[in-house]
Amino acid sequence: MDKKKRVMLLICALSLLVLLSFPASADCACSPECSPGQTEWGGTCGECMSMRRDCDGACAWSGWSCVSNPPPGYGNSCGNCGTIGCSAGCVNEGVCAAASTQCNATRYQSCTSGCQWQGNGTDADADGTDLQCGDSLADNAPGVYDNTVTETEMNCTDGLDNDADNFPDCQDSECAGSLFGTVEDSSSGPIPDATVSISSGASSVATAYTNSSGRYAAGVNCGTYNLAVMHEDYAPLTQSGVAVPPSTAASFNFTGNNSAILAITCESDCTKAGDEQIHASCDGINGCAFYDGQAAQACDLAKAGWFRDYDEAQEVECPSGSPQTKVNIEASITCSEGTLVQSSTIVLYRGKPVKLVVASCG
Amino acid sequence: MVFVLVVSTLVATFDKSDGEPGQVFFDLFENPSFSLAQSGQIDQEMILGLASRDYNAVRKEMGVSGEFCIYLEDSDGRIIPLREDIFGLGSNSIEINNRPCIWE
Repeated sequence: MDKKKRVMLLICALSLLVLLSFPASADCACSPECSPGQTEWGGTCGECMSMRRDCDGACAWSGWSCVSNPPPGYGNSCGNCGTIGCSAGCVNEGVCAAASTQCNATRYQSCTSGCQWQGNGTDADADGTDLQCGDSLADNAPGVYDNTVTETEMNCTDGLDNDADNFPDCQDSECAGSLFGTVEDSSSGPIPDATVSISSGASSVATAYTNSSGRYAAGVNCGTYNLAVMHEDYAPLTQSGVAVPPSTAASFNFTGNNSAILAITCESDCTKAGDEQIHASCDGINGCAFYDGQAAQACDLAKAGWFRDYDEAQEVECPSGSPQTKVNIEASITCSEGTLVQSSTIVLYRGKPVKLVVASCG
Repeated sequence: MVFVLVVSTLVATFDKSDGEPGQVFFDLFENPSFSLAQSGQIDQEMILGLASRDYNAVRKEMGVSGEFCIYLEDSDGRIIPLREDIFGLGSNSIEINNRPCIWE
């Protein structure tokens, strides 16, 4: 073989090798599965949908998928809680629009979120006619009926709201009564300007004040109350369980032998119970006696044993001491020998701040 | 509260000690064993009660080397008698307004 033939043979061999290495694929002549663009349909799936697969460009099937061809608006809500179905009609509709209400004859109904009627009217008197569908106010009052409801709270103790105004018995102002009485001291003298607090449980109901005759009065609903009497010069008094019957003026007196006599709190040293301070207002009460009115004013709010200035030149030992001339000498210290040194500090002595001095000669 | 305010105010108006030499006694008032000044509030019994103890023992407890006399002054520097006849409690070598201090 000459050289030219050997070259031609080599070229053909290389061409064949190239052809074998890159087979034609555009027409998928070699694929056993499918032709590109081919579609295959399977069974149904979901509502108004079916299974489908497609042959891709590499002549292989895609996976099955559920594809739809629904009617316009398919699946959207419609009507009363319904949805648009395959036939383009509304399916699974409820009977009413959610939150709407109606009277079905004498019974009141409201539409649930699931579009179904539900009775929920008020029929407290159980007469078969709901308040919302034309029954009277008696429907607010259990046990009170159209033929028994009254214009006013006729009975304040029957447990019923007779006039159906939402205030049964003593809660109704038509059952109100009043409370009055007298507050006196141990000498049967009236105590004016005392505060009488009327409460029920933890709630304050009314507050009254005694007049110059020691009398108090307050309008209250019927019921049972606790009373508390307060006055700055007397110990507080309390009384529980004071009953005020319906439409009745009830009384309670803090007087005489009632054991509710106001106790005078001034003691013989002119202080008050539970209070170490001397009060000028205690003068003449329970053995408390100041030297005179001026001494009483000087000792007001001091403590027993304290000294107070009676006037410029005199002081008085509280509460009952007589005025004594104040020592009016400036301290002058002398040492018999050595040098005087002093030091001092402030202390409280007989109710006054004073200088406690230590003098030393050394 | 009122007491604290009053005392605090007056502390500012009174001298804590009189002159430099008194510094020795300034420490005395901070001595916990000198209970008389520690309470901030004294009465006649507390002061005169000191005399029921031995003078030298008290002096030693206070840490005072020389003779001493305790007395009270008001805010104007006037004597407050401890008793009608007693101006000061301590050594009779110290006189207050020519009246010797006593220890009895």
